[in-house]
Amino acid sequence: MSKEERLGRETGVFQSHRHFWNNSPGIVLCIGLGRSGTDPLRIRISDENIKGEFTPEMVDVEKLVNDITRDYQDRPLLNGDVFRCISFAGVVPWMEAIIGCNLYSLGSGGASMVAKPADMESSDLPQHLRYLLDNLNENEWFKKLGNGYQALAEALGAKFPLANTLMRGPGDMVGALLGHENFVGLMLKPADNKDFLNELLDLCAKIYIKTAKMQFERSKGFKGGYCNGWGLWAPGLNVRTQDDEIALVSPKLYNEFFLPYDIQEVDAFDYSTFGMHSGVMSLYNWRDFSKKSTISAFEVALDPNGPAAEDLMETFLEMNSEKPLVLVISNDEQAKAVEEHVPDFPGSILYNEVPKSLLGSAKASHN
Amino acid sequence: MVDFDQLTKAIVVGDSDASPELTKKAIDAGISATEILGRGLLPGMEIIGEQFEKGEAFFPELLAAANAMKAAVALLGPELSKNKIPPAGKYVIGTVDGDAHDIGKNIVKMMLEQNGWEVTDLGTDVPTEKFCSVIKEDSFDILGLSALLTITMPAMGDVIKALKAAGLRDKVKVMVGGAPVTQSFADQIGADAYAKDAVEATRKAKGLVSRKR
Repeated sequence: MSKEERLGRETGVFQSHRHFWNNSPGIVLCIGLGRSGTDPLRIRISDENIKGEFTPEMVDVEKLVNDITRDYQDRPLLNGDVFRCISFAGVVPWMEAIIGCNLYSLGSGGASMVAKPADMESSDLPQHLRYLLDNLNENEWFKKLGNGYQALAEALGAKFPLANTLMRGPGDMVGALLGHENFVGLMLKPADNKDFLNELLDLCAKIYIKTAKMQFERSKGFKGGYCNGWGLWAPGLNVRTQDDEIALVSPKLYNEFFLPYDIQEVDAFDYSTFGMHSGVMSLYNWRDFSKKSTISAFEVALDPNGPAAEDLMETFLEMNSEKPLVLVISNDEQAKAVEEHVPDFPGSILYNEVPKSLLGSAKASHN
Repeated sequence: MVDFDQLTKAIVVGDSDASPELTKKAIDAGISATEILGRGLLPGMEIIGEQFEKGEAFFPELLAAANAMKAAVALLGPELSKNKIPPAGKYVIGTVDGDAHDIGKNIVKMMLEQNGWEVTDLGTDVPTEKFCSVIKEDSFDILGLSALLTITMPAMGDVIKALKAAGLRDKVKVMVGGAPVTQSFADQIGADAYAKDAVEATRKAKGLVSRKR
């Protein structure tokens, strides 16, 4: 491809992304099969079998940025119809770490990390979060994340867009802080716990907003806008949120406890995508969310053990009649169903191509 | 007169005040623990389980029902042991090596316990060798393996292979579950059963044990 052709293609992609956010009919974008950049920290955890407590000092910003720079130097900017974008140390559950959870690395087996509830009395948590919100710049994890994005922007920001780290929403943050079953147990006794939980959710929503904005400031944007983790560019602040705790609550509890804070959080940004899973009865919330917030797009990860993709199509088409839709496909059956229905989608969609070698198998990654 | 329907309803709606109160009345009326369990409490867990599977109830309702059940069963404890009522079966459960997610496993454990199973929880990030040694040293009807990550799913197959290599495979039935796990994956690694959620896990566990006995 000549330089002119490449520039023309890139210009076309910016244009198609603008259309995507407008939910223009007929916009069908595909995430290509090009190899994504690997997280060098995840590789190090696996290679060196790093197991046990994981602390901010264990994140070497300079080394990681050098590794990422090397990894990306020859990669093209586009991956299918989206931009190839970079996140910093995605293996770290940053949001949970920032709010005070303890991180544990699982070594070579999973090469992943988990966040355990904070070592403090529940009754101390509101005070802890209030202090944190006012003093985020002093938090070691927050500083490390900011330094990572700043260094990445200096090294690669002109060439590739940077995307925020996985932004867990207020429900996930409070669930991680309190322990998931404990959180649900407290929600079941609203007379005793409603004010307490609402305060935690509100503080976490505000910490989320500040942390996302900090990453935008440090990453400095790309061509007048920002990309989310799917490589979708938008001409403004562009977040993607995941709040998997939804799987543990009922629609009633979701509306009572989560929705106001999910709204608070997405309304703080120009563009927002809210990620859901198909396998855990969490698709119920989209109508209220769509009606009451400025949410820009919905995303559904089609879980291999969830309902068949074909059975979800009616819901997807309805969702897409209101908002652009991102579908994360993990196997052959899902790919086939989505591709067959592409002409039926009334608005804009983005979905991922599935490598032939993985078709038919359970490939979905889960964070 | 003891109203078993009321007791069942208390479990279904997750009323942790009413369930022990009605259970106490039944005990005082001379009803056996077996009858209270069988006619009042367990039907409640079955109803809430069915509602969950149909999407009419959600995890909080399951949790509330389990808590109501727990409060009632606590009163039956002495009576149950006096009459030597055997558990529904012995189940050992754990999240596989490299995976520290525990909520799915905990929900399965909770549902099994409230349906009369004796459950041993090995926790998370359990090494393959640990599963083998536990099966070797004790007698369990079912081994439940949980994984939330695609990259840790293969460890389920490793456990089954290790059980075979140690000559322990026929000693225990193996059930698998977790977000990325599917029936075809379970078949591929030679598991005896796959369950998509805690309610199905409880039902399939019952089926596996009745076939075994």
